[in-house]
Formats: sequence, C-alpha cells, structure tokens
Amino acid sequence: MRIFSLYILNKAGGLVFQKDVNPGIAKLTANDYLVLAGTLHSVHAIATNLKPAECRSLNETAQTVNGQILSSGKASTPNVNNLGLQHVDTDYFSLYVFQTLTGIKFVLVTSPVAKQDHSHESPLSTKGELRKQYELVEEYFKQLYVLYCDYVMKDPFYSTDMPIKSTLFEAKIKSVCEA
Amino acid sequence: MTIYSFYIFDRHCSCIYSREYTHTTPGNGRTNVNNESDVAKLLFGTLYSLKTLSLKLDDSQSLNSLRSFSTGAYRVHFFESLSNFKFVLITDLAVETLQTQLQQLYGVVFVNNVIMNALSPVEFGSAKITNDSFVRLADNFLRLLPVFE
Repeated sequence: MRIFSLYILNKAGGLVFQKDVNPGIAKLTANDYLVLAGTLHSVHAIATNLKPAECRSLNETAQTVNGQILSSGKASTPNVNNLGLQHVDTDYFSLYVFQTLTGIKFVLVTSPVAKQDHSHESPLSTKGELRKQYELVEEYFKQLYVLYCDYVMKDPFYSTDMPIKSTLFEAKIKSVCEA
Repeated sequence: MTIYSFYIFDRHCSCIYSREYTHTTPGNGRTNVNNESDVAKLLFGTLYSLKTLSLKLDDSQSLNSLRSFSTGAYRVHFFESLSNFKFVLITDLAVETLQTQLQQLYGVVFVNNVIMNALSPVEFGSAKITNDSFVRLADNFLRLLPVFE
C-alpha cells in the first residue's frame, strides 16, 4: 500500500493541512481542495444517517461511548464517529477518514486494494482484503495523530482551526508516509 | 454477511426501484416503498458526491469509477452502467466486493427484463419498475448469492 495524500480537516470541515506525499493522484487547485474537504465533511455526516434499520452491529451510540469514556477515563477507540464515512474504494485509489474526539478529521488517500482476479472470482476469495488494508491504515492514523498532537497542538504559535504551517510537522509526516 | 437493500437510480437522479430485505423478522421485505424517501435521496447525493470526487482526484486518463464506500456499520456497493443507471446494494461490512455480481445483475436480469421489455418506458420519469418478472428474478439472483444471509 502506498500513501498518496494526507488532508487534515478542522471540526467545521475546513481544510487546515494538505500534503501530497507520493505522486499518484491528480493535483487540484487550492479552491478545489477546499471544496473536496467540505464535501467529505458533509458526506461523513450524511453517511451516519443512512444506516439500514435492520443493521444491528455496533451499539456505539453517543451515550454508550460517553459512558465508556466517563467510567474508564479513556475512549476504547480514538475514532469517535464510527458510524460516519470510513472508507471509499475506487478503481485508482482508496480514501480513508478518521475522526478524532475533538472532531478533527484525518483523510488519507492511498493506493487501492488490489483488484481481484475476475476469472475465478467468488465473493469469499478476497475475504478480508479491505479489512486488512483498513487495519494498516488505522495504524498510520494513530501515528499521524501523535505527530499532530506533538508538533501542532504543542506549538505555542499555532491557533486552533487555522491552517498548519509547521515545517517540522511536514517533515515528520513525510518520514512516516514515505516509508 | 447480509444484504440489506437494493436501489436502482436512473440518469435523471430518480430512484426507479427500491427493495428492502428483512432478515430478523419474517416476511418478504418491501418493494418500491422508499423511492421518494429521504434515505433514497441522501443515498443518491452521497454516491453522486463521492463519484465526482473520485473522478476529480484521478490522475490517469481513463475514467475512475467508484466501487464502494463504507462506514462503521454498513457498506454500499455501487455500479453504474454506460447508460447511467446506477445500481446500489447496501450490505454489512463483511461483504467486501460485489462488483461482478452487480454487473451480472445488470447484464442478465435488468437488460433482459427492463431494457428489452417493450412495455417498459425508456425514460421513467416519476414511474418505477413494477415489472413482476424483474422483481422476481432480481430477488432470486440476490437471494442465491452466498453473501445474502
């Protein structure tokens, strides 16, 4: 798996950081990136409401999540809105969204999950491929979140929700994502 | 592995077929009940936005098509024919790919029973697919998939 780009969205859906780490996806204009961020932000929220009535997995409503945090002192998973958009799979790239407790979204664009061979296809033969890549990406999200906390939030000259200009942060991102 | 529902949208953004399957309660599910509902509209809007997004971010010359998107609770599989009919299946997360199945559903069931049906309109307008043989064959096709239940 190759990481193409990283976007960071503030809690209002504004783009605060955008970095193309590896070539592979189209370069857009600054305005298009803002539109893209806004689209992802709203689609993330809408996807929460599309849950089928019969779908009984995940009893992670806001109450249970908050209850868990209050009783144990920490969240079981850093991704708060589990019901929002998580993964978009297309022919040429995969896009992953991770939302932190404070509502900041990390968006990673990666190479797609290997296209399966259609000759001897069966839905069970590729079982777990998407899941595997998702777990891999989650590890990256954790690392990126740590970097964000260390190099952006602890920066005394950074004001919340504003574009991230730190060169140190950019360098660290590069070293994580290019590996 | 479960298939929750199946939608078809035409090129004028209207939902021409909606089918919900029931798994927990006995019964046959509902057909063409949700066509005008917010769920169908939001689903179309989401797919439309993600489709434009995937076209925009694509570097190569060939057309990039959206295959699926997922949340923590469900996955939506998407296939669009050249005539812009959009086929959408909502399943649980264990079902990872249904691209070939959707293509078959389009090529075998939809083309033979809706497109080639002389009584079926070319432009649906506000009409829906109420064609019994299509409903029956599409149901059979999906129910026979190993991922259905």
